[in-house]
Amino acid sequence: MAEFSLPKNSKINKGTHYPLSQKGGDVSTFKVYRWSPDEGKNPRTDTYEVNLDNCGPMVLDALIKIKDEVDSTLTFRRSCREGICGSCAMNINGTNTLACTTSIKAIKGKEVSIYPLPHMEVVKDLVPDLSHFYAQYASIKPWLQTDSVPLPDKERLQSIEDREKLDGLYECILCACCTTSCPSYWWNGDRYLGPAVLLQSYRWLADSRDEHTGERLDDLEDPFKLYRCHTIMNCTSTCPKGLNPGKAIAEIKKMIAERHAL
Amino acid sequence: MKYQTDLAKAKGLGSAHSGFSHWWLQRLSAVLLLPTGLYLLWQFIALDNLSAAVMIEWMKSSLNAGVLLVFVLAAAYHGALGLQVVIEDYVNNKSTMMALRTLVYGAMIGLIYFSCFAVFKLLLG
Repeated sequence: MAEFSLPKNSKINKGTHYPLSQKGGDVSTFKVYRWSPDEGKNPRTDTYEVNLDNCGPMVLDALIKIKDEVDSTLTFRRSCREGICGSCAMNINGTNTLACTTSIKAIKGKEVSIYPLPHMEVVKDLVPDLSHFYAQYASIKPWLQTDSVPLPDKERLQSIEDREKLDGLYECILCACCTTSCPSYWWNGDRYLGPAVLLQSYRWLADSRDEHTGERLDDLEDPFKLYRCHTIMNCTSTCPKGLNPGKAIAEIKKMIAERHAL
Repeated sequence: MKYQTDLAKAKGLGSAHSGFSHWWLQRLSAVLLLPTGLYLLWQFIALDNLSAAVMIEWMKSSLNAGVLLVFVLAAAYHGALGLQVVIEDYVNNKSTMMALRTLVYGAMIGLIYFSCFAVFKLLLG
C-alpha cells in the first residue's frame, strides 16, 4: 500500500539550536533537516539563527553562511548559484524550489524550513538520491535520433516556427522539483516517468529534426510510464523555471490520440 | 540482492503499448454523463414528486428510459475506470490489486445487468 506516515526510523526529532553569538540586526531562523547515514540515528531538524545584515539575499547564501561559519557538517548540493544548474533544489517552506533563486525576504515569517526534495531516498542532510531519476531520463534517449544521413557539409535545418515549438521545453534544468512534487511519482516512481522526464520526452517529440517520433511514442504508451499523470499540476505550480510540464504531458497524450485517428 | 544497473531498473519490462483506450474512454464516459445527468436532473425537478408510481409512469417513456440507460452505463463504466486507477495507484501488492480490480469490474457488470433489467422491465411492462 501507499505509505501515508513516515516509517519509525524516519520520524524527525528536534535537533540542536544554534543561536547568534551577538544579538541584534535583522535575524532570521533556519530550520534545517539533518540526517547522516554514519550516525545511525533518526533524522532531526537543527535550528540556525542568521543575521541577514551580513548575509546574501538568497536562501542558498544563508546555507553557505551556516556551513562556513556555524556548522561545517551541513551537507547540500550547490554549483552555479544562478538557477541554471538545478543542484540546490530542495523543499523550502513546503515548496520545491531552488535555494539560489529563493529570496529570504520574500518568505513570509521569520522562520525558514528547509527539507530535502520529498519522497526520495536521502544520501545525507539535504542531498537526495537522484540515481533513478537520472536513469529514467537516460531511458527516454534524450538526444536527436535520425535514420537519414545528413550531407557532410550541411546542418540539419529547422524553421524559425519549428524552433519556437521548443521554447518552454529546452529550458528545463532537470532539478527534479516537479517530479518530486508529484503524488503519482511518490506512489509509483519506480514505473511512472514523472513530469520532468516526460517534459524532456516531449522536447524531442516536438523537435522537427527528430526522426524517431513513432518509436518514442511507442515507448511512452504505457499505463504507468505516461498515463499515471492525473493532471494534478503540482509540477507546473512548483517549477522554479516557470515551465509547464503538465501541458507537455497533455501534448504527448494528444499525439498518441492523434495516432489512434482521433 | 539483485545486481541491476539503474538504467535496467528504470526500463523495467518496457512499455505495455496500452493505456490510451483507458484514458480516452474515461473522458468519453465523463462527457456522456454531463448531458444525460443534466437531463435527468431537469426531469426529476419537473416531476410532481418522486414516488414509485410517478417514477414508473415516467420510465414508460422510451426517451427517458434511453437516457437513463446511457447514464447508468456511462456512470458504471466511468466509476470502474476511476476505481481501477485508484487501486493501481495505492495498492502495491499484486495479488490484492488483481483481486480488487476483479471485484470492481464484477460489481460494474452486476450493476449494468440489474440496471438494464430494471429499465427494460419498467419500459416494457
